[in-house]
Amino acid sequence: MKKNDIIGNISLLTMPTKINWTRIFKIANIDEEKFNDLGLDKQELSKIYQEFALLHNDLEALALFFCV
Amino acid sequence: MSKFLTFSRVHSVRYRIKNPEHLIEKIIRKRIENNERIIDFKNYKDEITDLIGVRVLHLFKSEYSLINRNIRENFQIAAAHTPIIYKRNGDVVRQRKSLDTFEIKDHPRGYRSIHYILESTPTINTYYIEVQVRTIFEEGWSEIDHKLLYPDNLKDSLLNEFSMILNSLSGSADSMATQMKILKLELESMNEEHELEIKKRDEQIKSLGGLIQKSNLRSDDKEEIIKVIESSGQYGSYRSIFKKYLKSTSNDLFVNSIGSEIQKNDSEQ
Repeated sequence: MKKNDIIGNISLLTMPTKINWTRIFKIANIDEEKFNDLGLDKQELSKIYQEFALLHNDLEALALFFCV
Repeated sequence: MSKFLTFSRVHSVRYRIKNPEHLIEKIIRKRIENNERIIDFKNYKDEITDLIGVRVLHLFKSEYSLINRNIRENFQIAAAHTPIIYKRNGDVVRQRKSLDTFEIKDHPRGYRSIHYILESTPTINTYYIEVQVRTIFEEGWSEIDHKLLYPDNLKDSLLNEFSMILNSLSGSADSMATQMKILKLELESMNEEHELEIKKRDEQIKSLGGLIQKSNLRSDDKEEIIKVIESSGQYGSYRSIFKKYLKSTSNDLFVNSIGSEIQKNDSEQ
């Protein structure tokens, strides 16, 4: 196993796949009430979050492929 | 396929993958901006085109055109996304045919950068990559602007004013860098011409030495003149030795004038 593989695996393991809504609301500068008014589906967003968190390393490899 | 870092004129490359939390924040923000826009699990990879972000940095403004050509030749630009040149209000963009393939927009914060949306299909899925091309000074300003003003201080008038001053300075730094580059090229060209002139002068002095040897000058004068030619190699020294023969002081004609004067003296003797 190369050094990069190890870093990749650690990165994958440490990327949280469960969404923290408190943090999201803070980043988006929005409260839950206003969020609910937008008509967004929390479960749908959670699915996006989870898939994208798992996809992160693949995309990183793709980006690296483009760059160097 | 060539990679960004291998492109001519590219100084450095940075990339980032969007943080999942910032992806969700962006989807929320897009909904706030447009309540009818639907971004869901099926389409988020198409709707959010900066999941992969690459910054291609270069030193001089004029280098963008070569980088632009390389990007277009080596990557697939997403058909639905025309590359955008973001400019500061007041920036003059000279009309050129090569700019026809860009959309040109004034950025309210004075942000200067060229954005491309590339597409790649490494497996069955197509991914978009947002590529931002800019100078390192523009990068420096945008990083500081982003760090100090986003997201909480966007309305602070003093910070905004300072950021605009910094933006202006970064533009000036780019202009100065361009002028330095032009000056360097001028100096190199002048040095090249100077070297050629020296070479030409040395050849003329060499032939002059032969002419002196053949002349009817007194042998003391000949020896003195040739001694100075061989030892000095300095233009000024010849001037002092030959001045009694010299009528013209034109530098370009200097050696030729001496030759003429020597020949004239020879014929008079």
